[in-house]
Amino acid sequence: MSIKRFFPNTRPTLDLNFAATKRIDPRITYTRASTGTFVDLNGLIQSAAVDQARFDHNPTTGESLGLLVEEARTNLLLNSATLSTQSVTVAAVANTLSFYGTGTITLTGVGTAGPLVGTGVNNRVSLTFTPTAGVLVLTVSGSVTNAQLEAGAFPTSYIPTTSATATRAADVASITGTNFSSFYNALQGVIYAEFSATTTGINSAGGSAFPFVYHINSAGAINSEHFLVASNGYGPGIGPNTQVLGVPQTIIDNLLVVTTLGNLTVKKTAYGYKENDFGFTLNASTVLTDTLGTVPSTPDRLCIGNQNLSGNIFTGTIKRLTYYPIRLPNAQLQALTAN
Amino acid sequence: MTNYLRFSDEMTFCSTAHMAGFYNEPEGNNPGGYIQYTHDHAMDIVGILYNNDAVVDPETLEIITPATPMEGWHVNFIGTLPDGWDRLLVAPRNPCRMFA
Repeated sequence: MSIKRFFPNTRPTLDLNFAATKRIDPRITYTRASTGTFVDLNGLIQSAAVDQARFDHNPTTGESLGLLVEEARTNLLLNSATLSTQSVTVAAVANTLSFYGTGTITLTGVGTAGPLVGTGVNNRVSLTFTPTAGVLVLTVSGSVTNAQLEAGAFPTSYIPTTSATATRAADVASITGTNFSSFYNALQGVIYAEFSATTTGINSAGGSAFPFVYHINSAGAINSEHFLVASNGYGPGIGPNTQVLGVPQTIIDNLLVVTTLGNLTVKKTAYGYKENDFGFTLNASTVLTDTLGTVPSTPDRLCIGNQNLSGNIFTGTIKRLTYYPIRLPNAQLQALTAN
Repeated sequence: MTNYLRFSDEMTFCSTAHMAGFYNEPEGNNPGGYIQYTHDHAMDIVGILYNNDAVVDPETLEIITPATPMEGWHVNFIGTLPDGWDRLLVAPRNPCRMFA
């Protein structure tokens, strides 16, 4: 018996291997209304221009992590490159403080968590805390560089500031029109997604608990869609959904696999759809199936790391996104997602 | 180019954004909310801005007097402004917050 028989004979019609190619496929429309930063192969922070995609790396190992997609965040600190003591007005929500260096930041005023103590010039440390609303005083001692204070329950990529606070806009990516219809089969298919979630399943903006890894939907038919969420709304965990005109077509609203989010471990998922034949697996776990339901007939776009090009933005890195135009057998879904 | 906008208050911004199509009603898993980012626009809802006038006790680092709020509800916007939003434009000499 050959193990080869468990892998698909059908070739994917879309294979976005971001981690390997470190490039944006020309079929993708990608925008970000601000500059952004990422970690390069050597572990150094680099800047990307407006609308330039970012391909992130593990700062320790240099491993290519894929396309960096992040929700919008604001660095509330001034002159962040080399931080000095300052006071900041904050809201009563989860905030995350981070920096590089060997110094210390002590919090007083409306927040007294910490102190946050640095561990090295090239190491980023972070502290998440919830202050009361008002003025937070950050007292700096020693070397504190590339510092960031952002509303949100987890740190995101560094946002440099000088004399004003600065907002990094959200990353928005999609494939539409003939670029979409040329690879997509409405009747059946498999979507493979390999990614690492920085998000803990809750966006900072609006408190949404459903960050979308991908969303296949249509401009004309509301909620006729396939999608995958890294969600704190159920679980927390990772799960797909198929809806037709707002009616869930899977046995439960989400075929969710409970798993830890925000720990940067790579998740491999495969979701197969066909009328009365749905299947989902995470990291080759037992395939969750459903044998009753229809599929949307009108999708016209693939949104990468967001819902409907406008919200529920995923935060993390997408290593690979692949589409097969047939419903592969469940054993092959497992083979695709095995380590 | 960033457009710096000042609405009179949060409610006014909310209704104006709704009329301009920058608001999603809650539906299903979607809790609704402002459409802050698309391929065609970016909208950073700054909200209330504060003057840099908080007074902190240098010895205890306790707040003696909190910062005072500036007038209005502030939004930074990139993209084509909806009809009528140009009257909300302001030109801060030293913006407190900007797009990176």
